[in-house]
Amino acid sequence: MSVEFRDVVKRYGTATAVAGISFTVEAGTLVTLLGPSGCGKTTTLRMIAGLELPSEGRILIAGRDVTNLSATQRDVSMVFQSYALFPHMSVLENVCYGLRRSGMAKAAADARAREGLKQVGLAGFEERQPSELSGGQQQRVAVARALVLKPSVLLFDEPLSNLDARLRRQMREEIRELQQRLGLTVVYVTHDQQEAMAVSDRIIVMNAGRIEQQGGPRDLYERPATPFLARFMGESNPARGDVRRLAPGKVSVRLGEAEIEIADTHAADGEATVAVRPEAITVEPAPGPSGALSGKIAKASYLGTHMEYSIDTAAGTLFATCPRVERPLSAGTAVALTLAPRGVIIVGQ
Amino acid sequence: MRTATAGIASFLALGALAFATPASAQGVLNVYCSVQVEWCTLIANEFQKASGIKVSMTQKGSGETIAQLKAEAQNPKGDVWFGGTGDPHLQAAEEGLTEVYKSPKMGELHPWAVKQNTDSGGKTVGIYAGALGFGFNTELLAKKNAKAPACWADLLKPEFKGEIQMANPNSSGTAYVAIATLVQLMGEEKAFEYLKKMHANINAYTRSGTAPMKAVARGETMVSISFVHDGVTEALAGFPVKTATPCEGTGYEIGSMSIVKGARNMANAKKFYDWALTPEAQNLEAQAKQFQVPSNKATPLPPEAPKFADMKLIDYDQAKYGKSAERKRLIARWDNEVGALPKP
Amino acid sequence: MRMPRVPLAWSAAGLLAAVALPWYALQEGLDSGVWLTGLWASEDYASGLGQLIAHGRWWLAPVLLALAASLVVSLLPLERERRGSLLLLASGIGLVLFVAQALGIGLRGWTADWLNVLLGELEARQVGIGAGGALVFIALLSLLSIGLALRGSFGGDAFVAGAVTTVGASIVLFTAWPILRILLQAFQDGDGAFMPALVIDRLAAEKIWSLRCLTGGGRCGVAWNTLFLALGCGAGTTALGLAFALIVTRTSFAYKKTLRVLTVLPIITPPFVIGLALILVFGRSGLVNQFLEWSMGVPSTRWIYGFQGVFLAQLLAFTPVAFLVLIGVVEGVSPTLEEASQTLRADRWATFSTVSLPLMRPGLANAFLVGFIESIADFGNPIVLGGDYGVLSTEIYFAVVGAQLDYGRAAALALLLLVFALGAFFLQRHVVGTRSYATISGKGDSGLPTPLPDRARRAAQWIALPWAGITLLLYGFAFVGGLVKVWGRDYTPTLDHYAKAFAIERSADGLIWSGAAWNSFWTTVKLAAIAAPLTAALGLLAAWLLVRQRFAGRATLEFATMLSFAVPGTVIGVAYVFAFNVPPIEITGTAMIIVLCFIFRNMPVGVRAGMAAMSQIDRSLDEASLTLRGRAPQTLIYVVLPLLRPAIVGALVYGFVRAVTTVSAVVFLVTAEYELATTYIILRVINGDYGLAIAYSCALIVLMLAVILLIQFLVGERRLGRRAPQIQGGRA
Repeated sequence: MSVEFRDVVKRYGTATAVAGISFTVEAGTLVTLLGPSGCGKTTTLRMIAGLELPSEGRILIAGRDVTNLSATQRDVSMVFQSYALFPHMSVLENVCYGLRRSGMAKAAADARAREGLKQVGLAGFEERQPSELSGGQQQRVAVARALVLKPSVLLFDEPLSNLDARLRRQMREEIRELQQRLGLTVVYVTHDQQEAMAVSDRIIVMNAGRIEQQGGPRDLYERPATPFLARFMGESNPARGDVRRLAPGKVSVRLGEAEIEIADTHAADGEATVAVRPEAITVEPAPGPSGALSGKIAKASYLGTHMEYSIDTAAGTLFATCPRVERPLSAGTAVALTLAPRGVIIVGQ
Repeated sequence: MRTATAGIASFLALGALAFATPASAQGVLNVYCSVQVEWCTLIANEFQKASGIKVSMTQKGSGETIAQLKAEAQNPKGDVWFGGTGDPHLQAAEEGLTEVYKSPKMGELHPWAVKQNTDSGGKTVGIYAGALGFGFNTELLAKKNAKAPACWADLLKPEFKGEIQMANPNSSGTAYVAIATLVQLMGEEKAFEYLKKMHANINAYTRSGTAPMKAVARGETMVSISFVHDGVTEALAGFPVKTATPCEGTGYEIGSMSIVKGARNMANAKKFYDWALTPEAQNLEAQAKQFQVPSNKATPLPPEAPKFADMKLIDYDQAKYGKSAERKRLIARWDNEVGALPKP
Repeated sequence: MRMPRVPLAWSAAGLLAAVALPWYALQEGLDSGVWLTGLWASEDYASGLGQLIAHGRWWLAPVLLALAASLVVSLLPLERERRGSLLLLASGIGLVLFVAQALGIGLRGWTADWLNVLLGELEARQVGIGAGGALVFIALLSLLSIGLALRGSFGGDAFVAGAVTTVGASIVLFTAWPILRILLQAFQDGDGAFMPALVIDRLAAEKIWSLRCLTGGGRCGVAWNTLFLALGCGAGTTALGLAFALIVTRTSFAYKKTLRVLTVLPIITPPFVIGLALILVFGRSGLVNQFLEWSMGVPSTRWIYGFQGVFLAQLLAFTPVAFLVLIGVVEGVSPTLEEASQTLRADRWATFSTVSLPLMRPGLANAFLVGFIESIADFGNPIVLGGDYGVLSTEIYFAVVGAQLDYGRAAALALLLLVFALGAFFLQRHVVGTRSYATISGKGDSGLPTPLPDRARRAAQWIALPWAGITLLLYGFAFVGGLVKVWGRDYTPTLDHYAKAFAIERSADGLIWSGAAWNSFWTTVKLAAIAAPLTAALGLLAAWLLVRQRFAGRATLEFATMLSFAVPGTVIGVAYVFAFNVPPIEITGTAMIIVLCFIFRNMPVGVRAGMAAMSQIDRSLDEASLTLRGRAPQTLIYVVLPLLRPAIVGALVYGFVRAVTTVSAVVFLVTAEYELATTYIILRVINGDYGLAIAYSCALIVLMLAVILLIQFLVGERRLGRRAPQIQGGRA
């Protein structure tokens, strides 16, 4: 079932949390609301759930106007950041809760809840208390509890933020797998860009109560429209460069003494803000090939899988990652930088 | 919404419970009773037996009762107000809270009871009288080798320093009777001179009028200025209390009875009023171990009761000293000149 | 869609009530059934519709029309918001006109002169609102909330909207209105004319503000007396409470359990008992003085009467409350912080004085505030022991019932008292704020509470143990006082007092409850049993709204719930008589007014306890339930309440205990039919029948203990996972 926002505004007193946003979540897709804390993504999610009602605008779920309906009256369920498992109920009672409240008989609700627990791999845990489960298990109970209601839309509010790194990856894969297997419509909130890219069909990036940009994970990463987005989606080095149009769809960007030709349809000639992805910078001991940007390594760190360098150049201090750990360069070394065109993006003029 | 409905249902149930005031509009009488609780109970039960009218009795002090009458003036809940010092009854009459009624029994009453009726414009009547005097604890007197006070003048003696209690006229009708008595006895200036001198011997001006006598009974103070019949009650309870009435003369209270203006059960109220003035009804007082003088001449006086014949009573001007304005003036003067003095 | 059925049901119920129930209150009571035949023809029994058509009460027309309009709006196929707006409009107009007619037309036609001038004399009159009128009012109120919810207020939830309007309206009706009504008296002269200058006269009086006791030249004003006493009581109870809390939590004192019981005793003790016991022990012919005189020839004195006595009695009575406030705070000081301090080279005493004590500061301020407020509102102790040391609460009482009978003065003094209480509240809020340093985190604190340093332990024991001794002594003597013939004179043991109060005789018809106390005893139990659950329910509902819901006027509602706590009982009692003796709400002399007085006077504590407990429960638990199809009331029942069990027990116990022990507020409300235990006891005290009074009080204490145990048993313990020091969704 689709979710649609039309010019939705949410104000608390004089503060505006969400400043007029419109978007559509297509049925059967997983859409992530991504942004730094305080950007309004959680408020937006809560407005879908009905836990907050908008100050202006309309919200439609499955084509029906639900703007002023309370949470209970909407066909959505939500997995909370803290899981919000009822501490005075067993796992089974937790999963049954929504079914019982919708008026299902106890036996039927029990059966369905056991089914749901099996789906998330927790068969056999029915009689445990939530506090006896590990974080990942609690998370799964919360998912099962939301899932058994077969909601039109399933909402996740930073569901993985309380898990350790390893579990986080496993859980996000499970969620994605479940969503695709059952064809669920999911809206997912996170502030972790990697997590967003890993699970989403589409990502809506929010900043200061507005939508900054929306699109597929690859679109957003490779073609960020604003400096904010370039910074927020992965890492990037902000730099100033000179743009010169070579052909429709092709421009050249000059950064220090380097000049790179990249694909771009909009940019006009002149100075522009350019984002350079750290992984697009190849670092070699000077002198490098012609057209390379020369610089000096200010700082070098070894991270096991790769090296990280801070390099002073004419275009400013650039941060670069280098997969070649077997021949590390030490601080003070003069280097030449080559920039791959896919990692150089014009984000503003 | 089911829970909300349940909430409403319970609210309504509560409402039904409350709106259920006692049944049968005939045959009911609401009495506000300002004498001792045993007496009140006896009165209620005996009247119910004699008349078949269901009596609902509320026992409250006279101050509380007049406060309630005033608060309920627009919509009275009580029918008759039985007992309590005369002043609040006179005040209620003055403020139009009570009803004029002339009982056929009026001829059988002592003159002071009838005078109360005429003073109030027919709105109240005396049912008993009690004289003001001293109560003293005989054990404490003996311990201090002091002679029992017999006259107002004795209360100024040094041996009673810090040993006398009287009530504060701001809150107590008894204390006001004492002040009014002294003013009538000595003249206002001299009376206040006296009160200022006596201040040195007073250990507390209590809030309640009956408290000083209780304090005497329990040995908390040696002497009190109280109604003497209260002392009899204490003595019968086994406390070493004796009473005296001052040799110079003393005032008295006239316990009164009034019908509430706009009473819902007016006919029954009048029946009760007439009945309460009969000797049979007034005999109940002695049964309840109370020892004021009943107002019907034919009511026998209990043997323990202080007899008016043995006392020197002043001609207490209820009409003048019962008026609110005079009372306020005297109390204010007492407040400024006596009450405000430093504690000795 | 469920929604349209609800407004439909309410409109229909309202209309039904307007047609089939008597509009006005009946003298005979609804259960008498006499009204059934007179719903149309009898002017006393007619329904709303009957009154309107057959008896010419035209002013009821708009109210009934509003209900009819709501019914139509509920039936029409309308969009949600549109239906909401129309319902809001209809019920809003209906309510305004309902209130206008109820206040504007009374027992004698128009209630105000300007209405007479404006609209001409009105022949008709109306008495108090009865079942029909009340139900119509409730229906309109419900329709108003549904309208608001449909338009998206209160999270679009009709239950929340209804709860807010219910709580709000009931507080306005039963707290704000009576208090306003009596405070207005301060500005009126004896005849009810409005004279604003009068209040200044009344408040500026020398009797209130004189400071001559300090210069040695006389007595101080009651305002200062009250303040001195309250400051002393606040400080004293806080110190004692802290000492107890420290002993119980931080020492290996052997009789902790006994101490705990001792601290509960004064709370369930009827008023006057402590005062009486003090007189029996410390009075001039009390045991202590007698003994001193007999053994050392010290002449006995009357020191117990006045400031010292009242202060002592209040310390005894209110220290437990301070203890209960402080024990949570002392337990809440994180041991880890103390351990951290010790690893930073602080010894135990330095840790205690520089870390533990400062961390308790907000709690100490809270305890002080409670002691202060309890003291200024206290009536029983000053009246028994005050002698001629007057405080505001007794002064108000005597202004109302005394020889002067000056309501204006009483109201002005009440105003002053209210200002003191509110001043203390605001001061506390601004100085300490609502922050609490005592943090119980979900992480589980593995530190061990540091034992008290010797100096502090000795100090605490030196303060607390004598106090405990005195309490034990007083209760012991009070208990014995009910078992001897006449205390102070005749110490022959006897059960006469109990027999007189609680005799039960066997006869052919069964048992006869012939004891003198049974009537008031059963009335008290019945009314308290009705009031306690309602008090707890309303208090917790209000707490839930205040903590969990966001709505306009939240802060005002919070303030209003606290209002009646700060106002002394005497003022409330008189205010109730004033406000509810005349139409539209005419309930004096009924059990209902006593129950209402209990509820609205004791609710604030339930609100506080509920708010404290609720803010410890993760909000997402509620929200999870809401998104899991649990409607607001179900969320309340299945999720919030089970987690609130301790607070429920507290609110129920408090509601019951206060209903049984309260006295000043109900003195004016009791009648012969609904006589209460405390008022009965006071009469015995006034008559000097201490034996019976004490016997009765002991019986009440036993009753309350039994009820507390029963409540604990019925509500049960909170079932939680084994770990989980804080209740937070699943995260242990």
